[in-house]
Amino acid sequence: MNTHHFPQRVAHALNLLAILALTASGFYIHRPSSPGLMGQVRYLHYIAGFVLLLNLAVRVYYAFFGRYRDYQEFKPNWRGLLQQIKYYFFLTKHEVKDGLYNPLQRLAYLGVVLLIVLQGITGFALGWPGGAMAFLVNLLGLAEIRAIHYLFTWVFITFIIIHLYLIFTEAPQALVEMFWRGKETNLNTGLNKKVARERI
Amino acid sequence: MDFQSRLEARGLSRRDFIKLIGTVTAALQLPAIYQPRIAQAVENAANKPAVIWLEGQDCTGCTESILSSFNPGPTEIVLDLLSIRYHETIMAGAGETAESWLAENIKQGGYLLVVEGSIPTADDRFLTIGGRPFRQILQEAAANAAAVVPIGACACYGGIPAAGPTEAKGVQDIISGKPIINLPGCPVKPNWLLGTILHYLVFNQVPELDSNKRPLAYFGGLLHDNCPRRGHFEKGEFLTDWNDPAQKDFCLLLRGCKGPKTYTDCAQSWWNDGVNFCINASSPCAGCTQPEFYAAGLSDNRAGLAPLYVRTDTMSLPGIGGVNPETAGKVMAGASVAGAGIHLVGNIATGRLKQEKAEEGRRDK
Repeated sequence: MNTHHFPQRVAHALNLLAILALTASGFYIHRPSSPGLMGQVRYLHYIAGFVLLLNLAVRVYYAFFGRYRDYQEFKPNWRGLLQQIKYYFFLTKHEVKDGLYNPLQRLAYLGVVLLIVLQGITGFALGWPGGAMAFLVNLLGLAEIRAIHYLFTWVFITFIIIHLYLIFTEAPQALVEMFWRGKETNLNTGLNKKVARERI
Repeated sequence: MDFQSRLEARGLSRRDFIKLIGTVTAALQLPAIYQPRIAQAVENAANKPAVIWLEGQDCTGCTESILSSFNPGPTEIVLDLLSIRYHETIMAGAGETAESWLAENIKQGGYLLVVEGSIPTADDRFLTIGGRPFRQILQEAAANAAAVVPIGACACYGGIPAAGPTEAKGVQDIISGKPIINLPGCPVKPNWLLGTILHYLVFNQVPELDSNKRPLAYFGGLLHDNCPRRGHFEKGEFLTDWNDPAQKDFCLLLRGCKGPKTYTDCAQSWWNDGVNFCINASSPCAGCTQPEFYAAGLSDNRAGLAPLYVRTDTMSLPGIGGVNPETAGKVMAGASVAGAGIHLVGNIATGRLKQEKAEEGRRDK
């Protein structure tokens, strides 16, 4: 038993690589410099974008129908939300123990899913203004869509900063386990029993 | 006088006339098969299409643009192609005579109403003609018009006057219930206006329009996609120093070019009978065919395309107004770094980190 199964680990690694590539190439496209690599960088941006979107689609499918389905882990836990926020503000010593992810994590990861979808939509509008997203171009105008796409990049960066900080301080072990097969641990004891049964 | 002899009286042979029609057909992006039909429409318009031309808050630049047309020339436009009933800049009449002539023509109806310049909405006193508010004149003239053709950025979307205190608006914000064909640009290109008028004469209907009410034939494509400097964009060669001769043909993106956000056919059909256009003359595109043209973005509710020589990145948020995503993003990311730092101090102060380590130690055992 491991906190993160192989498919989840692969999806996470792909997300990491794609988002890194997208951010780096995105900043180049935003403020290009010599040497001239615009064509190549944009090509990389498109490829990484497709990887991220396809990966999201497969991951969402897997969360519901995969062998180690884990959609339960991402269900928002509104009741525990306040306690978790208090925990981060040092107002209580007790973290919410409910499944793999705490209530704030669940919301954050769902937010990332939404963010990827929105980046995909605005990205398609920018790459193919006359294509399927033409209605959006007509509605908002390219200038606005470009600004939104760029702002969302900063939302990604903000997420990554908080994500990294909390992983390193709150659960460094989970970081290791997200990339390499972890040791036998009893981290899963807090898991929802139904999910645990499904997994077995 | 029949049509042929009228052409000859103007020094135009039949051949010249057919050539002119060929040019116009091509400008309309219609196949050559339409050429006889267009020629027929123009000949039928020997009872020439009546045009009433109103000027609001404008600089007369669009009039200048039309009168600088080469092919057809200004005399053909004014005397042969159209029957311009009222045009403050070029009409011979003035004062009461001109105004009563306008009223008479409005009564007759069925004309094309060309509007140049924006309409002040803050106070009608900002613009009156013969003591009457321009807005009222426009509404009366539009009521009996077959179609309204606002020309230039001002008449279409408010344009440059919209940055002033008169709360200038475009025709589409004042007039409803009439077909409106927006022909923006600063100024409008002559072939856009003549082509649109001819299209209306031939088909008797409004051409296909986009969501900003611009004819798709002229405003259907992005300037960036047909830019002569596109190769330099792809190669990453950007002009940064105006004084460096080696960079003179480079992409103008970093110098504020709005080409990637602007829908127009400027790159395909150049000004002054194909002599030149902005980007080819080393000026970045100002985005003058866009509704956002000249809007600063930070004070206006639209994502702006001004100023000209600066890359504009402002976006508009409902209720907040203009926001620079670069600033917003850096503040957001900076706040998260600061928050993490403060939290880390808290973590150490409360001994939470040590606790975690101890727990891990237990786990490892």
